[in-house]
Amino acid sequence: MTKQTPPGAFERIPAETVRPDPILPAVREVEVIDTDFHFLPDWETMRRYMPEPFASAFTRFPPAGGEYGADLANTKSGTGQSALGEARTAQDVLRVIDEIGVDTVIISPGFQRPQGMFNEVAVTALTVAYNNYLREEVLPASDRIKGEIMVNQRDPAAALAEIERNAHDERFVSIYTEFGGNYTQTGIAAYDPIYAACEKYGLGVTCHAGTFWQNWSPLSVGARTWTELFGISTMGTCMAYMASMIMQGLFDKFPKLQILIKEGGYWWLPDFMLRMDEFYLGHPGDIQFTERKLEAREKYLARMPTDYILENFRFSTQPVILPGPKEDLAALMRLCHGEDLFCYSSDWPHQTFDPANWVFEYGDAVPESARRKILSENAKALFKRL
Amino acid sequence: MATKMAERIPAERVQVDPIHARAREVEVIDTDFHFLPTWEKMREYMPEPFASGYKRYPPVGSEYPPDQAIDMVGTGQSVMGVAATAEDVLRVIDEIGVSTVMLSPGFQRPQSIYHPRAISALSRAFNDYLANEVMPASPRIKAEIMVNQRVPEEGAAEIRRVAKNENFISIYTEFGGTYESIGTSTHDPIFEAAVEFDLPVTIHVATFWQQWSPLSNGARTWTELLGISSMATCLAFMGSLVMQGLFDKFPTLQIMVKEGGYWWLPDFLARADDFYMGHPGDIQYCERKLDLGEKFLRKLPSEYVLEHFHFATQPMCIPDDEQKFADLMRLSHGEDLFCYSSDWPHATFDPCNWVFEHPKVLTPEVQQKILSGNARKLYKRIG
Repeated sequence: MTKQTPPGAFERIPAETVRPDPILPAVREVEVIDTDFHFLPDWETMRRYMPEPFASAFTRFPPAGGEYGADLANTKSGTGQSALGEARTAQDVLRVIDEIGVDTVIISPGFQRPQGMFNEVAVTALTVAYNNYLREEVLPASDRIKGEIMVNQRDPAAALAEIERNAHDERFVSIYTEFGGNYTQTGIAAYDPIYAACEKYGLGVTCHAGTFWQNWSPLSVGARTWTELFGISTMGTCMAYMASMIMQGLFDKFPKLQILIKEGGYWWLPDFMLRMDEFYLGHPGDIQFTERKLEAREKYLARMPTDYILENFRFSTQPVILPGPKEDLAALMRLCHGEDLFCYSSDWPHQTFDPANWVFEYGDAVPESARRKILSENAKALFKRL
Repeated sequence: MATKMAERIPAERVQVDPIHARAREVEVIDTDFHFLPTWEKMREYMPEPFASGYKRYPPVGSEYPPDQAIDMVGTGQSVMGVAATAEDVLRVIDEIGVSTVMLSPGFQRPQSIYHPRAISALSRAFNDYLANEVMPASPRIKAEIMVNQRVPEEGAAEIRRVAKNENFISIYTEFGGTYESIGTSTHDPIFEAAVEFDLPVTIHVATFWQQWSPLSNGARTWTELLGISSMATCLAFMGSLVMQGLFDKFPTLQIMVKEGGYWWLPDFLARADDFYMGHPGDIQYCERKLDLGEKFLRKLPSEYVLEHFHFATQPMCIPDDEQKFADLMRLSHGEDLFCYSSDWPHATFDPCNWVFEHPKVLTPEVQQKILSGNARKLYKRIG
């Protein structure tokens, strides 16, 4: 550490990689469901499952928009996607989850921003290959592995076809979509066919961090560091997505829909909830002009914005950021309804990996009842197929 | 807004009356009050060719007026009225129980005017009108220097031109998705001039998501735009201010954040520290750090927030549960960081009544800090 190392408010060393060991014995004594674990099949396997002409022509994972590698910031080579390793097969997954104390894992596609590929039809081709690989070689290996259906969110018709094609397989517990400044919010009515299918089949909907501020937009041009991009723009763009779902009447049309937010943060929820309610009460006149409300001939939302958050959203915990004083964590848990809304996730194998240890290390701030809910029960309530 | 959420009626206007009796017994500094001179008045002060050619306030980028949302005609900038002169200001602040007011430019997103030199011309006209006709009317009226932030050298020149007038107590800039984050070193000329005169810099909400970007195309409602995009673009601006070494270069600089929210502070403070500790390697490539030959920030991100930022309170959103309000105040360091603002005359106008209505959470000492003490510390020229 040099003299310029940040002072000791944190007992941490800059850019230190999180160690999976030791996992607390308590973690192995309870059921742990990991709701975000990145699975990255090797590209040759994907090509075997991909239709032509993509299988022959896409000889590597294609360049995608919205890039900013973490390597400058964490001083490791690579994209930061594999700081702790790579899980490419069912065997890899089972080995790692044993190591990190996880009973059941929900694997998310580990590709770099697949929705950002230039060729829109290639996104669909990759989703077909990924889902088929999961069904044929990964999910059959163990009941402990569950998958998310990868979809092309840029083409809602193609996404719907992919959901229809795979939904009968109960080992898929949800669908996987991404949020970020390069994509239009998934709360708009154009995505309704996808939501109708998810509600019909009892599939959850994941909304996972994907891109940062739109490339070459002023906020992107003004950003310099990983903390501004992955740390902060994910909060901002996540809010945009959640607001679109709530304010545009998505849950009045699909009241049973369950959204799992991943890696957008959540300690901002107190402001988001109060502010949405406040602005809605002060400025509700434009709700009636949104597509779903025009269709339903309704003037207002059926409920207050906050009510939808409590009923239709859950948040996976990684990266959990624990404030110093335990009383602050207790206050935040209360303000954010963490006991009911949080689902543990590890985000293995990324740099910001969270072992489940923290759930046991904060005494009364995360009491026994909350531990069970965060580690498994909330996920089971959300993902009906678990 | 003081009334409990559960008791409110959609689209109801905020009533100015009655103002809490205590407001008239203590000092109240309103740190955000929008002053909108008539356009004819601005033309009187504007240099040519703008005075002759700009016959009306020009079209600007990033429009989304709230009129459908509040069922009123107009831009929403004048819901409670328009203050165009010193007399207007004095009448209104008496009505709303304010002792001293800080005027912010009330124009619609002036940084979005297509001609960058016109922004400088308007800044000059606004500042000269204030200096000549508005601030001399009463020591109760203070103002912010309007600057051209798109051409930072011109913004800096305007600061140096008018800053000797002690009635200007800060510098006004805007945040939003159509402007480059103000923490970049491109804006250092403005910060240099601010530090030279020991003037704080305001960042005030202005635009939403960048127009025609995916997030703009996906938004439909005022709540998504002014309610939520303002939080998010404020985070982007704050992120740039904190992470790019601004306060290591200008350790005395103070920033006032207006209308970007603040109950997200618990997350911002913890998250910026956590990401910084995990990923500090790219700090050294920021322009200021390259100039200084430094590898890391000198402090943790959260420390810069606590030492260099204040937040104007409007729109104040208070949870119905007092314990939650107390927790949020503590987690957000509200006692020391918050300065009361009314945002008169906008639809989300906050009379200061709320400060007195929660005595268990806001003790008399905290009330005093929020209503005037913190602002007096920040704005040394209030005197």
